[in-house]
Amino acid sequence: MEKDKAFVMAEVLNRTAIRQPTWNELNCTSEQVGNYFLIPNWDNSVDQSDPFESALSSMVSSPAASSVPPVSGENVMMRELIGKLGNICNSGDTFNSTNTPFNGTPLNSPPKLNLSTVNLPNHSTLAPFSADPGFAERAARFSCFSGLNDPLMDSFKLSGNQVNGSQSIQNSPMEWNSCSDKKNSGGSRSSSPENAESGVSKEESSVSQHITARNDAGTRKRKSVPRGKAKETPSPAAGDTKVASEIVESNSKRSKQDGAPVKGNAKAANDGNSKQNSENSKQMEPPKDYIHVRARRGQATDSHSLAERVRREKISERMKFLQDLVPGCNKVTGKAVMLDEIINYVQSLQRQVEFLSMKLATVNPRTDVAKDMFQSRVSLPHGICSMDSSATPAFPFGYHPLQGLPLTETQFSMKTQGFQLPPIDGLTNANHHVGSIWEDDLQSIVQMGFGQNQPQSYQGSIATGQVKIEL
Amino acid sequence: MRPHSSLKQEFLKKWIMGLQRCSFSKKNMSILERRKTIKFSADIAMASARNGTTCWSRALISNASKDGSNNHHLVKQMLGPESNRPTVAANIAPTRRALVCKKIVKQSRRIRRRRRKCVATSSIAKHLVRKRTQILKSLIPGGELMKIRLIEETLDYIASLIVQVDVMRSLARASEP
Repeated sequence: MEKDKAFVMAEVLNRTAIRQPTWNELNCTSEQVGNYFLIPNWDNSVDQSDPFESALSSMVSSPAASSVPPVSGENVMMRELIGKLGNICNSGDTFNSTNTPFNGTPLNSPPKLNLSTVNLPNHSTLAPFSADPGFAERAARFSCFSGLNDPLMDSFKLSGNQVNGSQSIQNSPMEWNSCSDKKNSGGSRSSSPENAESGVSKEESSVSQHITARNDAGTRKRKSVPRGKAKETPSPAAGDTKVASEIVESNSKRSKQDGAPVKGNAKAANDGNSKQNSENSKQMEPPKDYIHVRARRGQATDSHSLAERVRREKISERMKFLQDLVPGCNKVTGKAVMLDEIINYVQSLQRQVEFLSMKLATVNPRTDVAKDMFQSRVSLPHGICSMDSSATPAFPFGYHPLQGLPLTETQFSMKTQGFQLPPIDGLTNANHHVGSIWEDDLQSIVQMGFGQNQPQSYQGSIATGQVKIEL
Repeated sequence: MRPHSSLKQEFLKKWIMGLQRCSFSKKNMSILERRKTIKFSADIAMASARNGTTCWSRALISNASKDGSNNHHLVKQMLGPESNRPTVAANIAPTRRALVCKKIVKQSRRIRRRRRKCVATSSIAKHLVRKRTQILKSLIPGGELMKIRLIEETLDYIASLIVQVDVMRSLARASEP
């Protein structure tokens, strides 16, 4: 089933696809879902050998057509998201059965989670995660790595939390807040203190080892995340020579790529890192560590070289992320060439920004155009899409309409004042003048975009003040 | 990689606010001035969308708000008084000093190496990589100060640039007749 999803997704999101259409696909249908993952990597071009990621993308790209009737659109998407992710991880039918009870619960659930932005159903509906603690860990690790705080990732962490120890939700936000440190890859830290029993930790270790096994199967991305974590806790293993050999093997594979150690930041950074690593290892020592690291054959085992290796691994894993970010960088190996590509890409992006800003500066301040926009905008908050055809395809953003709704209201009112009194200022500040109508154009265009997407994506009733994901 | 629309919206919101405030200061700007203002406000909006979590954003804002620079009053207008801005969380000051020390150490090592005339491939590779990282640091705002987190910052910066480009491109396309 995951393979099917992988294939579906592979068709939908080709790696070499043009940017704009895929961005459309990704966003015009289930944008709400995409919003939940602030991790940039999720929306990346797909690595087909990673079923988790591929299924996630397929979920993002596929429209929100589920058998579950939309009680509230938000919760439907949430459930879908959880459902599909659970499907991937579990490969179990138990999940599908638990999908249906969601209908009754969502709005009644007390928001115990400290997610003011997302009105998630409480932990009872996150029960499907119970089958896969590793998923939550991975997700948490990934979010910690990317460093972006995301309410949904918090919820995933919480679910992993609840999964592991059946802790009360009140405890978990504290745990999670405490492990906001990136290097500590929060999933391990927060979940490990709750593993009172070694049995659970064994399960986790097997799961995470399984993750490494699966990752080693050929993905580029999260391969090194568990390994990086493992490097931070270089304590002797509890057993499982099989996994150790896997790690060793993939390490040896990696060693070819790590041919040249990176920039001569060497000593000081190294020491800093090693200190941090030792701190991390001390903190993680009392709880169980799942993945143990073994020194490679023929390599020195002192702390310096280990720390050096950790540093190099981290750098190479980040290079991999960058590889995914910079288009056309997949086949390139070697740090120097990749850095070259990155430099070129950054330069080209900066040049594009310059060019586009120049282009926007030449937008003529035309009052008649602005008037048309204004008139068309009047009808927008009422759900009538009376846009010009030229403007209609201009918004491939797929902005989340729930967000757009309150924003449209405020900006609309602001803009109304501003426009009815063009020679006089009507905006929030004084001194609005005709010469800056080009900015009004921009603003009106933006508000058109907000308003336009509003009737497109939502059919069900929306509680307007209910959910504001980002605002 | 597809940046998220949440980031886009954040950026757009801040950009529009910034544009509104910027426009009030001048009347009848020339095209070049307009372009500069647009780009500048977009950069500031992008950096402030990060809320001080990344080094490059902080460096960008601090560079822009230096008193000697051209547009520092615009920055003040856009972001409000200094007290409102998110505090600089991390390590810029200590790394400068560490940087100096590291540079000295590196240079001495490099001199020693050259004297030894070591032509090993690894050293050549190291040299190439080092050159390129220097270039990269020059591109990214505040790149000189980062050593350890250069690649992470680059990643974040690239994502923000992509957001910026997407938003601007859509606006430009929308405003075409």
